[in-house]
Amino acid sequence: MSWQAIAKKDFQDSVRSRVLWGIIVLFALLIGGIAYLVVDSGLTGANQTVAEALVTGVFGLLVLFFIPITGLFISIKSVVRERESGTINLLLSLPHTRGDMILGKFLGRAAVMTVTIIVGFVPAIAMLLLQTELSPGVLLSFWFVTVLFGLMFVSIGVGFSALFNSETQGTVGGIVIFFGLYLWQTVTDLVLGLVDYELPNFANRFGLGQMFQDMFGSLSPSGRGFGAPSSVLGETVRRQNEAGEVVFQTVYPESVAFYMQNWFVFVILLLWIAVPLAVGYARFSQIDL
Amino acid sequence: MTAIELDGITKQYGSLRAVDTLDLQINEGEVFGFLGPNGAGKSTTINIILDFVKPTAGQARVFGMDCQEEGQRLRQRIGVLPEGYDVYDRLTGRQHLEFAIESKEANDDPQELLERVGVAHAADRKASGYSKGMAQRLILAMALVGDPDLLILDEPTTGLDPNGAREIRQIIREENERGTTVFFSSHILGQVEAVCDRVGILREGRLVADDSIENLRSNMPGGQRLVVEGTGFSESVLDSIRGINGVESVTVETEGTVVAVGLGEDASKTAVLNEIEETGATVEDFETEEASLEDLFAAYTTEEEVRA
Repeated sequence: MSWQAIAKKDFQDSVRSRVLWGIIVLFALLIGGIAYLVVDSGLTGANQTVAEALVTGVFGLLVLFFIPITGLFISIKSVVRERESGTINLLLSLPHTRGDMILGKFLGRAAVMTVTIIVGFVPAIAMLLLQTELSPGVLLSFWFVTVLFGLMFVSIGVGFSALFNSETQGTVGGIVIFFGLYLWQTVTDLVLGLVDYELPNFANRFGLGQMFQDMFGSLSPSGRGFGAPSSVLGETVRRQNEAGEVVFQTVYPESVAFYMQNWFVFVILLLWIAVPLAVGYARFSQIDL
Repeated sequence: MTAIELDGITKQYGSLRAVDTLDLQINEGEVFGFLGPNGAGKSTTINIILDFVKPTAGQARVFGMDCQEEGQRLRQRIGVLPEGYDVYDRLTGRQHLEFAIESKEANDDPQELLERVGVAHAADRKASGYSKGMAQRLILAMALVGDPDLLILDEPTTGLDPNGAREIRQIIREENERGTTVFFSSHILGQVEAVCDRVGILREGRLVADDSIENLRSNMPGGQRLVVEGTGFSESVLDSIRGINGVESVTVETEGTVVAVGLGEDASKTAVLNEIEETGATVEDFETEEASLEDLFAAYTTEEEVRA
């Protein structure tokens, strides 16, 4: 299989990047450091649910920042760099199609991303599993969801890389895409909100934070499950509990259309992976190198 | 059967026509030298064969397979040393070959191929540390993977010392002896004449000659070469030599002091020497030689009107 040879070559090549190992070490230190603080504080012994929410919440913030950056860093130059340097002339002189190249690039870089996440998380997860009572199911599903989450940025990076004409465009493009993805919800609210009230909720499901929450919410034992309404529909309300104290609670609608249920996030993930690759390929297959 | 068949290939870049309705047939088993000055369209033509570049018009076929439609299948049967390539900095020489072997689903031994091109000693070093010549040899080794039926080599000897260039020619000969068709381009005729059965000369995207070297040489009118040594051969002196009736080419051998003048049948040696003296330069010595291939090449590629 043609794309396998490319994916293997690409993995061998990019896994040797020193910057990549710098990112892995930094990530491991940060997330490991937080895990250490949590263990050290003794908080996990006190209230299991609160501790779980705290750990996944803080880890979540780190993941939301680090994974898009790392994913784009790994992939945004994957195609354009070969074009600019001329290594593409070697690759496409061999019996590969341009489609094989895009697919092989995606799979090779996705493997690099996965290794990065797995290795980066090892110290933190090991510490939490061994020294706290936190549910292994919650921790492992968090880990797994992070890997899935990473794939989407690799695909966006590879797809866009196939559209760029120079490495400089790749660098600038990577930064713009990074911020663009963060602004997703703002943009969908603003633009789509003008058209239809219902649409932004669905569009917001494509946003980074929602994606992560819904995947985690679907898979984690602590989550609301596959069939539950997406977290985008949650509304915070002020209530009085039985003791008469004022509390804030997130409430969800009773039942929602299938595309607003938690599990649909995996369809959205597939779209995030397939569409950028398809768009990149559509142009890349037509251009003169 | 024809190995390469170009049928009215044209490539237009904006207002520049890089290749202009090019027809060319390379027969199986042939060693074909594709000649032309830099920018004549050689690499564009090769890139069209490799489907790196889409032609504006025309069709290219390799072993009867369409280059655009069946590129993957046809590249299974060819080995390529492309122009403007770079090696993968972080991969070793051996990994480069392993990639080519896997890509072609061949079963060559990387070490054997590296030995053949003379870079076995650096097999496990990262290719970023290779010299230009070593990288060139490495890519040639990749091109030899899977015993290709056709080798396409774009300027294979550029960047190599004379020894390296000779070794590459030796490999081309060996490959040709076991039946491989070789198509290689060069802007230096000397690299081609020793190994080619046939040469094509490209100039501004058009094929201005397509023949064996013997035939090309015998078609050269006159065919004498006057080498003049002296001082003061400025550009204006050269221009006035060019203006003399019957002068076919003027090449500077040593800046300002040695000039070679290609003479046609109706040219007079004396006229050239007189002209040089009259324009203020001095002649210290001169000799005449039979026309070399360099002059032939110059005649085809630099003259205003080409008699092909």
